Order: sequence, then C-alpha cells, then structure tokens
Amino acid sequence: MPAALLLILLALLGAPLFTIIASSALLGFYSEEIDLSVVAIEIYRLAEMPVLLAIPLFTFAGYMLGKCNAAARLVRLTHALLGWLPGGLAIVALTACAIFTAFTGASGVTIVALGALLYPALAQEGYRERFNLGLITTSGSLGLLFAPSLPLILYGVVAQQLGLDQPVSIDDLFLAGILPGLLMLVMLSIYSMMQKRAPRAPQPKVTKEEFLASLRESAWEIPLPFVVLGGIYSGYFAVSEAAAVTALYVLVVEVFIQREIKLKDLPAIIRESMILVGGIMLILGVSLASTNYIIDTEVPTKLFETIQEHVDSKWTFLILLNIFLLILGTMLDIFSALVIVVPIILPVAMAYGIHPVHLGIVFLANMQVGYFTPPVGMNLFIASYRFGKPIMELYRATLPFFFILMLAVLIITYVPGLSLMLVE
Amino acid sequence: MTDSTMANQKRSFLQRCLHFIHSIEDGMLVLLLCGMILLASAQIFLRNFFDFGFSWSDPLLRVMVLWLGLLGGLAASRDGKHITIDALAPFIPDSARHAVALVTQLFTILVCSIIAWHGARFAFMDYEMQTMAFSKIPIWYFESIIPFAFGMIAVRYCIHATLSVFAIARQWQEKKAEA
Repeated sequence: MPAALLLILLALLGAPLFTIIASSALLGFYSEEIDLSVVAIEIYRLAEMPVLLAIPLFTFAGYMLGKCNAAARLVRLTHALLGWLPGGLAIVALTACAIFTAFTGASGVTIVALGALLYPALAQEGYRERFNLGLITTSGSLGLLFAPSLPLILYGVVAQQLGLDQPVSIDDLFLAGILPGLLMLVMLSIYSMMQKRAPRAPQPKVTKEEFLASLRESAWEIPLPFVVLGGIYSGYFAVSEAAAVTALYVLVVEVFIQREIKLKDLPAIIRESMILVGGIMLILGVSLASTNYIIDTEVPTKLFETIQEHVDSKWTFLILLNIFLLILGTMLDIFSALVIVVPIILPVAMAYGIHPVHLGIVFLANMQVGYFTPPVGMNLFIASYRFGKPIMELYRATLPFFFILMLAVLIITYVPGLSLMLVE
Repeated sequence: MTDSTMANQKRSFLQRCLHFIHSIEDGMLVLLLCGMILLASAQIFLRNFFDFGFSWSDPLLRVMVLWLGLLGGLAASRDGKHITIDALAPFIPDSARHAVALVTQLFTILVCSIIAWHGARFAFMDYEMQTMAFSKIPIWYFESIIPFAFGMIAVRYCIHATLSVFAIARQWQEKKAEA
C-alpha cells in the first residue's frame, strides 16, 4: 500500500507513465517471487500481435494529413456539400472535424489544423465568438468513435489480451461506433441550427463551378475514406492492411503527386509521429505485464465481489461507471486510460452482463467528453493556446456542448442497442 | 589556447557526438517505417494479384512494430515527451521544480535499468538455448532491442538528471548570492 501511494505521487509529479505501470508490475511479480524477466517476455509480445501494425501506419498517415493542406480542402469540400443547410457552416465544421479526427486521432491535430480555418469562417457567418470557441474545442475529439480511430483499435487490442469468453473483434468495434458517433454529430448539429446569428450580408450560393472545383481539388483525398472504410467494413482488408494502404497512399499522394510535403521534411514528420507511437507502445508493452499480473491475482473478480455488495443492478453500475470515467478522462489521456483501466473494468462490467463491445463504446464516448471537461481536459489547453484565449473563457464556451454530449453519452450508455444493432 | 575556448571545443565535440547519435536514431525510424509501409503494401499486392506471399514477411513486420515502438519511445526520451499525468505540475513552486524533476528522472533511470537488465537476461537465455524466430534467424537478435532501448532511455535520463543537478546547483548559488 505505501508503495502504491508512492507510485501515484510519482505519477502526479510527472514521472513517465510507463515507468509507473512497469514498476507496479515489477513489484507485483517480485512479491509473488516470479522471475522478473517475465516483464521483458511480456514486452516482447508487442511483436506477436498483428493488429498493432495499424498503430504506426495510421499515426504516420494522420500526421501527414495534418501537415499538408488536406484540412483546407476538406473544409471546402464539406462546405460545397453541406453549406446549403440551415446552420450550414457549423454543420460543415462538425462533420469535417469528425472525419479528420477519425483519421488523425484525437491528439489535438484537429483543433490546430481545422480550427485555424473554421474559427474565422464561423465568425464571418455571424456566430457568437463563444459558440465558435466551444464548437471548435468540442470538435477536437468528435469522431473518436468512427473507424479507423486509434483508440477504438487500442480498446480491441487490450480487450483481446484478457482472454474473455466473448471475443472482441476490432471490426465489430468499428461497426458499433457508427450510430453512437452519428448521434453525437446530429445532436450537436441540431444545437448549432438553433443558434441565433448576427445579421449578415447574404452569402453567395454555392455555385456548380465551386462544387466541381472543390471536388477536383480533393480528387486525390476523396477515395481515401472509401478505400479504408469500404475495405474494412466489407471485410476485404484486415485493419492492419487498411493501415498499410492508407500510409502508402497518403505518402505517395502528398509527397509525389500534390507535392505539398517535401521529401526532406519527411524524416522530421516520421520522427514526430513515431514519438507518439513510441509513447503508446511503451505503456502498452509494460501494461501487458501488469495486466498479466492483474489477471493472475484475480483483481477484477475481487473488485466485482466488493462492488456487488453495494451495487446490485447493471444500471446503477453503469451510472457509477459514467461518473468514474468522466473524472478519469480529465486526468488521463485516452491511451493511458485504455491500457490501465480496461483490464480491470471490463471483466467487472461483463460480470454485470454488459457486452464488451458496448462497454468499449461507452468508455470511449466518456473519454471523448473528458477531453474538454474542466479543469484539466487536454483540448481546453490546446484551444486556449491556439486561439490565445484564457482558459476560463474556454470553460464557459464549452459548457453547453458538455451538457449536450453528456446527454448523448447517457443515451449511448442506457441504449445498448445503439452500439450493438449493427454488430448483431 | 584559453580554458574557455577549450571548453567550447569540448562542448561542440560532445554536441557533435549527440547530433550523430540523434541522426542514427532518426535514420532508423525512417528506415523501419518506410520498410514497413513498403513490405506491408507489397504483401497485399502479391497476395491479391499473384496469390503469393513470403512466409517471413508477417513475423518480420510484427518485429518491426516492436522495434519501431521502442525506438520511438527512445526518441520520446530525447525531449522528455513521454505520456505523463503530472496533475500536480502546476502547483509545484518554481524553486522546487528542478528537484522534483530530478526525483522523477532518478526513478525513471531505476525502472528502465531493471527492465534493461532483465531484458538482457531474457535475450541471453534465448541465445543459450539457440531459439529460432523464423527463417532460422536467432530470436535473440530481435529481443535485444528491449535491453538496448530501455538501457538507452536510462542513459538519456542520466543526462537529463545531470542537467537537473546543475540547474539546482545554479539556483542554490543564485540564492546564496542574493543573500
């Protein structure tokens, strides 16, 4: 117990998270008198999971898309397609951000790359500044539930390590995320349509020429979602194969065809993206060891017995889980939360009769809101930095969006069918 | 030659060494990732159009993931870009900042050294037993990335920790000068 408190203190003071997880595994195995080389053996299991190939490849592709002008082209295209709707530009912003986040991961890239374009454009359309700030900050994590987002893949990887009776396939997770993700998108779009706008000069209609021009401009990127999503959903590609195709395609298009990224800039982009991959892989590798220890010592079973003494219904458990995950989401980034908490929570949730795929969606939906929950949601700080606004202003700006998405999270939690309909 | 110019030259030699090491690391990341993209794509192409595949490409790709992950982790150590929680960081007073950093750095050195040591034992066991991975390649070749990467992370944090000690000493001297 003193050791656990010391580790928590070290983590809060800023020790790399992987060292905290590793030392808890090392201490655990040491106390059970198991040879500590088991930790190295577990880390080597990173080389035994085919799906992990998707992580470096999708991350690299995401960084490439963030570095070229794909964001600007995506906004122009969505505007040509959806700009005619009432509240059109806000919906354009939400949709474009969701697509971009699904491909680039919710690492703040969306706020930086798309925010710069959408924020002034929204102001020009007469939306209130606070609404614009809130919308952009919230959109930074919107799209997390859509394939091929990294957190969905990682949840599948972690769940597969637990040896569950009900296997969790990543393809199922990709299907399960669609409707809950759309629900969030629709709810935010309705809120945007209800916004009052300052009177403004009538905007020119999107002409046929503009429509065709935007299509032509994005001609190289348009096939990407179709190839990736079509390939995965039809079962033609495994996830890792889709990642390889995406990485190769993006590399060839942006470097050799669009020529927006110079060959000499490539090493820096690779390094930057692999730092993120390294961070994820280190915590994943050492958490394979700690998960092994957790399973060996039957922590989830004991936890379930303790919780069951106080909580007997599945629904009460779920609401407690929602509160817990929401707090967790403000403190831990999504990757750490996945590898640390899922191995403990998932067996408990399954003992309550919750479907593992449904739990994954609930988990990620909560984490998505955690990204901009005060006081320490990461995207609040990124947006504050990016738009030069005080953090208090962002707390206020995101509040209505927080309540809307919390409502969506509750619906997703208590209507399992929404997640499981497409899977079954 | 004065002492200061010698110090400058020494530093620039050290900097050159570091620069050299960094370029090797970056080069390995570039090679591994590009190799991975090409190999994985080639495999899909061959399988779909020629119904053909190399038996070694799948296991090799998986090993490349491990190597890329650990070397990426090493690159993250260069600028201290690891995933952290540090929820208390905003509340640490400036005067204690370097000391706190030193504590977390020493802890990182300790943990990484232990993993590197046991990783080396693990690879050595497979070396002695002559375990083969695939295509008759000894598996310890691949496993040796674990002691290497964690060992190098420990070395890197030794550098960070030394810098922290210098910073603490400087702060202390400034305080003394003020008083």
